[in-house]
Amino acid sequence: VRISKNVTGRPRRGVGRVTPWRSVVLFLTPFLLLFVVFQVWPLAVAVRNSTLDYNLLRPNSATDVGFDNYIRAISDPAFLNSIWVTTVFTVAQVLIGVPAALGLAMLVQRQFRGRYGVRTAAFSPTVTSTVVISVLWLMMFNPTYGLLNSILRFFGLPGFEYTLNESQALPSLVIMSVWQQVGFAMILYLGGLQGIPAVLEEAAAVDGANARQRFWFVTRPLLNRTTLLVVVVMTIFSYQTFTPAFVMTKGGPNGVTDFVVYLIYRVAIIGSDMGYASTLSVILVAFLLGLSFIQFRFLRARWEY
Amino acid sequence: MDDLGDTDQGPASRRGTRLSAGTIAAYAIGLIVFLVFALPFLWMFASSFKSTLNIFADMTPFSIWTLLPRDATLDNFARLWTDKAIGRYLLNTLIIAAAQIVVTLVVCSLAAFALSKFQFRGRSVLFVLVLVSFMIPFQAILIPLFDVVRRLGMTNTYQAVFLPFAASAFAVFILRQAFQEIPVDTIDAARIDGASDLQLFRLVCLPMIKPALATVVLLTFVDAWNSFLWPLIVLNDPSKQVVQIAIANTARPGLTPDFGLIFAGATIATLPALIVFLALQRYFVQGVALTGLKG
Repeated sequence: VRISKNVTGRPRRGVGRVTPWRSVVLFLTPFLLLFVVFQVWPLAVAVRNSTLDYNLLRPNSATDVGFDNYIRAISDPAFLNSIWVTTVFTVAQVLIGVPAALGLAMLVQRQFRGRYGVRTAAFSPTVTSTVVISVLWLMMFNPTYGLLNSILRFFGLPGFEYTLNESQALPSLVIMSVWQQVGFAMILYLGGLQGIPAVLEEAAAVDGANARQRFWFVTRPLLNRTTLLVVVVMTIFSYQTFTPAFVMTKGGPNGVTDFVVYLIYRVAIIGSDMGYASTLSVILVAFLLGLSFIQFRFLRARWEY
Repeated sequence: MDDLGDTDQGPASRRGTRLSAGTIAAYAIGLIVFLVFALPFLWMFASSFKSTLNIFADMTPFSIWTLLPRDATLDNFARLWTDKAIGRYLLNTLIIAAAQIVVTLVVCSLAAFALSKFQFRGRSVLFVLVLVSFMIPFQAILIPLFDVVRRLGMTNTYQAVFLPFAASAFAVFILRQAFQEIPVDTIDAARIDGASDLQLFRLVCLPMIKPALATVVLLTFVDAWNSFLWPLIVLNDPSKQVVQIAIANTARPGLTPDFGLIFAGATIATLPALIVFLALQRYFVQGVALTGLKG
């Protein structure tokens, strides 16, 4: 096979020659093989399985039921509850986590001794497994022997029941999750801050803008791209939350922490209902792709003027 | 966490090093932030060396001994080793992590090189496709993936745990970025000397992107070490189980928590990734900052 044309149409130096297909195939096949088998194929399987009545206990009697699973999903109180719970969890986490991450980034940008220590400490949870963080915070939340109530008692304050209480469980998990993810977002913001030329702030300072105005009218708008990225990444992460429910609450009390992925896990692994679990997976994937698309459009509109 | 909201004094003041009110505030807030993140870890490490009775005794009232080991004992670790067979799980996890690192490096550096230095039809389409796969929420497709792995007859194998993650879009992205920075003249020189594509890749270009390779190794290690939900689904042979699952099992809700044992397990599960991170922090920060570039 001979390809004689430069595909981009642009003359390039050095690498301008078209690579022989033998090399292209040799270099790309291992990646593409794994990519197709483990990422593309599961998506196709998800869509296919989503219209099946397909139970692992009787795998050979799968029957096509059309859109029955989808109809079941939109009227399934457990699924609707898990969507609601996960959405509240995500919105709260973004609303607290994004300003906290920006604040942290601006703090560790200042010249003071120990800022690297602060940065390292804030980033540490990011390299710690969610299992350990869940186990650790389960202990922290223990009303009698946990660290949080121990500190509150030290200051003479009343303690909380945290994950054991129906109205405190979800807020508790939000706090834990912000603690876990804010360091990652902080690093993204640090990258964004470094991209802002110092002259812009200096010019604003010369024009008489105070620190608050410089932040609000100069720095913050210039960070819009970073904020978009942080919001999208946090949203997608937090809609996929599973481990805190599995380790700490089993979805309770009374379903208030029953996240979508934990529900899908139960349907598939405990219920062996691969058909319905695939339907819920497809809905979640479509929802997240749609959401990040909308977030990109919506947030982009605010800086392109 | 509300303390963090007050730190927006404006980036312009970051260049002033005199001891202004802002700097004093930065120290105070910095200390609080540091404690917010460090205290839970300190409590965990200290408690892992205490008996459960001592942990409880040191909680009320809160004192310095809440966060420091007192009457230190290795009993919790010994029990993890003998009763919970943690050594087996650590070994399994190391095997899986090592395999995942090797396969990821080979597969993704080859692909990244092709996407960076080769000229072929469909190159940009392919790269966009890889980037789009970033957007696929992995936890959300685990169940269909399980069905795929089951049909391939791979359940309960080590390769089922790491192979699905080896074609990592993130690794390709980092490595391609690094290959892009190799000057065209270097490539030309090697070609003129008669290097084949494979030689060009292996002997000329790979040695030039060592920092990026290190970043991929570290991020892959942390990923593999910390993975939980997928092994939970795909492995049900107890002798193949990984460390995170063993840790999660020590803290089953409903049981009276064995604080000492749980903390010792959490400490063991944390330290390897944390030490690697503390020693080589630079590469991590680079890796995360690169994610920012794609946005």
